[in-house]
Amino acid sequence: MQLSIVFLITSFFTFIFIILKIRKNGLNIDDSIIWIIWGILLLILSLFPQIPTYISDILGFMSTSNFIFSIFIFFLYILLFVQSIQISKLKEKQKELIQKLSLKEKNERDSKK
Amino acid sequence: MELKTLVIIPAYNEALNIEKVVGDIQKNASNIEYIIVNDGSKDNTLEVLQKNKYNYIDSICNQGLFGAVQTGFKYALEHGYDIAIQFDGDGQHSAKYIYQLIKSIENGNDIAIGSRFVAKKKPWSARMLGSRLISFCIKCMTGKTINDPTSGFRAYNKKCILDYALDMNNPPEPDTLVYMLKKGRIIEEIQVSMNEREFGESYLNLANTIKYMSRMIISIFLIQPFRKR
Repeated sequence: MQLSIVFLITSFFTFIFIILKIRKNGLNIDDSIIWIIWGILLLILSLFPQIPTYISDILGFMSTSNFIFSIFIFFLYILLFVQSIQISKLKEKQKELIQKLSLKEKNERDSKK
Repeated sequence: MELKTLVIIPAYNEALNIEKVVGDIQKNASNIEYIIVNDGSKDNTLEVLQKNKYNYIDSICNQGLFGAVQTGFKYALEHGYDIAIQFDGDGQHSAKYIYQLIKSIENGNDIAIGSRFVAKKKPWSARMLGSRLISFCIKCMTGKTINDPTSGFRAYNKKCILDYALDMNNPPEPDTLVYMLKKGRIIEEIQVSMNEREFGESYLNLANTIKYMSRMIISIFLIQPFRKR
């Protein structure tokens, strides 16, 4: 029961925090979607604690909290991986940008001569 | 007073379509200025633009539809245009409706949408299911009916150009319309007919559709109502 309340509060504050960030133009809506889905999932788990209990029983976890922790770690892993991909893309794009600008500058200098 | 109008045409790999699109504008809306934003196309779109001496911006890298359209809005803002019209580079839209959209803005509306379903009924096809769902969500949140929220053929007045050019969370998508309605902007729909695209394929597949729809629904219900007006 206590765990449910903790989850309830967590999901609520996650949501508030996301909205505040978006209001201040600090977060892209696209990037916030995954966090909102995560918040909703937490809400469902906390409102219906039978669901995690049931699933953890089926999968053979020692206790429900172990199952919850596993889910958290799994989620964070996935998110971390996705962010690594995004960072790689950003790096690549930034490199491309600098190269193209440098080439452009060089071409302009040459054409002035 | 004549309002200065700019047609913004985002183009990504549209070498086969762009000549027809600009030809259409030059023929059917000849006194309207246009700008093409080449979004880092991988085909020879740029050469086509140079060869025909079109008015274009060449974005250095690919930045996606939102970035390309926003580049156009920033250009419109810098050069003091009063109306910006978003116009697809794939030949879906017809330039003959541009004057009607401008007329609607002149009549005091903030956004005019070139809509397929004002006078005509929306067909019950799988493709239109998503459109219906988004219309329903918008109706729920704002009480206003927008028959064709996914239409990419829209005209914006000066206030809206400012919003779209500078805010990071205003992509030219249906969820931004909810934000605009909440802000008290007036949206009018104008009946237009659209063509099927001739060359190239659209992004619509199952995975993208699910992603798009979940983004729209979450954004419309859980984000837009709480944004700063």
